Amino acid sequence: MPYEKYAVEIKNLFYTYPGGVEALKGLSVRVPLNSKTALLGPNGAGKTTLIFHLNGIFLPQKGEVYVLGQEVSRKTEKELKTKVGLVFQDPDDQLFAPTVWEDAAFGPLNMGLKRDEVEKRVEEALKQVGAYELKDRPPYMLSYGEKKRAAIAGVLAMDPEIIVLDEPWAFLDPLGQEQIGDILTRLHEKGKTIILATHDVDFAAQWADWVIVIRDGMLVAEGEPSLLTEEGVVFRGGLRYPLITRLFKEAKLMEGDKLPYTLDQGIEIIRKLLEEGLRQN
Amino acid sequence: MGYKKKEGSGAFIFKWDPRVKIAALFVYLVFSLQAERILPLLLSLGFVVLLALLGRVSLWEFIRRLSLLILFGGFLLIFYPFLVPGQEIFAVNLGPLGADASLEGFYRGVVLLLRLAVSLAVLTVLLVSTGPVNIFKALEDLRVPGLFLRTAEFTLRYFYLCTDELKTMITAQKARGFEPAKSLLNIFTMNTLSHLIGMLFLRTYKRGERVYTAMLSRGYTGEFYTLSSFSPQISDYLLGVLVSAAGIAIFLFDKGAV
Repeated sequence: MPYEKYAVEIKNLFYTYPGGVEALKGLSVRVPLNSKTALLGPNGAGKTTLIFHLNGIFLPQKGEVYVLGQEVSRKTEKELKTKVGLVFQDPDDQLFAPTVWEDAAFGPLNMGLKRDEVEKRVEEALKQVGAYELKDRPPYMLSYGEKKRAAIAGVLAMDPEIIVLDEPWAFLDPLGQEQIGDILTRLHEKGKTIILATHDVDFAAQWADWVIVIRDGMLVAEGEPSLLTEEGVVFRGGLRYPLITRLFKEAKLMEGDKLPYTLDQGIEIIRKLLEEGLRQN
Repeated sequence: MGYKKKEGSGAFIFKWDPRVKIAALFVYLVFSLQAERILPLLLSLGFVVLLALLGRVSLWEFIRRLSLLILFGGFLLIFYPFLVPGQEIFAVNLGPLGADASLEGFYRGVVLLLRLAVSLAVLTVLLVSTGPVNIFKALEDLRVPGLFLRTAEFTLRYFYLCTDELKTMITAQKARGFEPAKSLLNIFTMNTLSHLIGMLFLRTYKRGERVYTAMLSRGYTGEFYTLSSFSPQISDYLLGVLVSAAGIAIFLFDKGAV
């Protein structure tokens, strides 16, 4: 597997839950290294099952999963937990320790790090997400946004190369969403690969530089976010167009591969159209 | 909830090293609760109250927690005189049924009540001046089995979450017009409430699975690692010796050795 190119490469992955539900049916996807990847798909598409394969919580029943060039297996699962950090959808599932500080220290302590290193990492991680002042607070006393940041800190303290977030916006107010968005941007600038499972097509189009669409445990499409303007992908993926794309499509202002999918692109097109209109008048 | 910082947090009892504090208070309890006479037990209670007052533990907090005694202690005082045979104080006759209250029983009830009061007072001093977080850390250092501590910590951590879930479910039922009947024998009310409890169990079970998965994802393998942040001073040990000695002195006084 070309480590230089892909952080994750999955080949023909199958996974069936003990109850018989087939969650993944021959899924093959790639995540470029140092990308901002959005994993899109409707409920039950297999997003969470896929995520659980990335740090060895689930092992492939059939197929192969490579993370940073290393195959996910029973032998590598422990090491992978330090390379891939998972942030769960509900922070109450993740924050279990009596204080925020202790929760952030949980991962580094499991890694067998020395006290000084643990303390350094926890402090840095809490500061990175603006949660250092919450360090002595018990998680249940935090607001939802604070819990979310504390949960991210718990993963950052392990200093993983890949950070995977499951529905990070769920139940967050706009300010909280903005704060998490800023944190993710900063982490990406530091060289981390960010994978984000979401339903939010608008955010994916705006934020991501790589998009994966899955449905019924199979790949619908992967590539640059412009594929979210393609009717076939949107229809087969059970998604909707990004609002800015829909605006231009329904107003018949643009068609095909010229359709914008980010706000900046939309503004630029409107500006050009206005300038053209003014010139013609 | 005991996590809140209480007043007087700068006082000696708040600064006292939690490990030494727990060990000393444990020794104090073990010895002073052996007392079988009222006076030594009153002295024991007095010592804890004095410790609390000198340590600036909120008097209101103290009274609030000791007020729990009224409920349990009341039962002891009411029933014990009838359970222990001895010199009759009065008799209760309800038709064919009758019972004699004995002085020995009353005395026994008071002794048990005082023991309960001493235990509760010590627990109050410990909880208010230390807080659950440091208590758990200290117990870990004192080699209390991790499984026991984790269970207690998780109970504390998730109790509030489960309560919130229950409240949300009740509100959702009310929002759809459910009003419990005055009697629990009402089949619809009983069915609805049993479904509610059943669903809460299922949710809790699912939550437990998710929490465990989240722990696995951060490298949990069944072993818990913690960092101790306590560093006891000589003054901590001296205070520990003093409190333990007080417990032993009360024990000896009760046995007539002092």
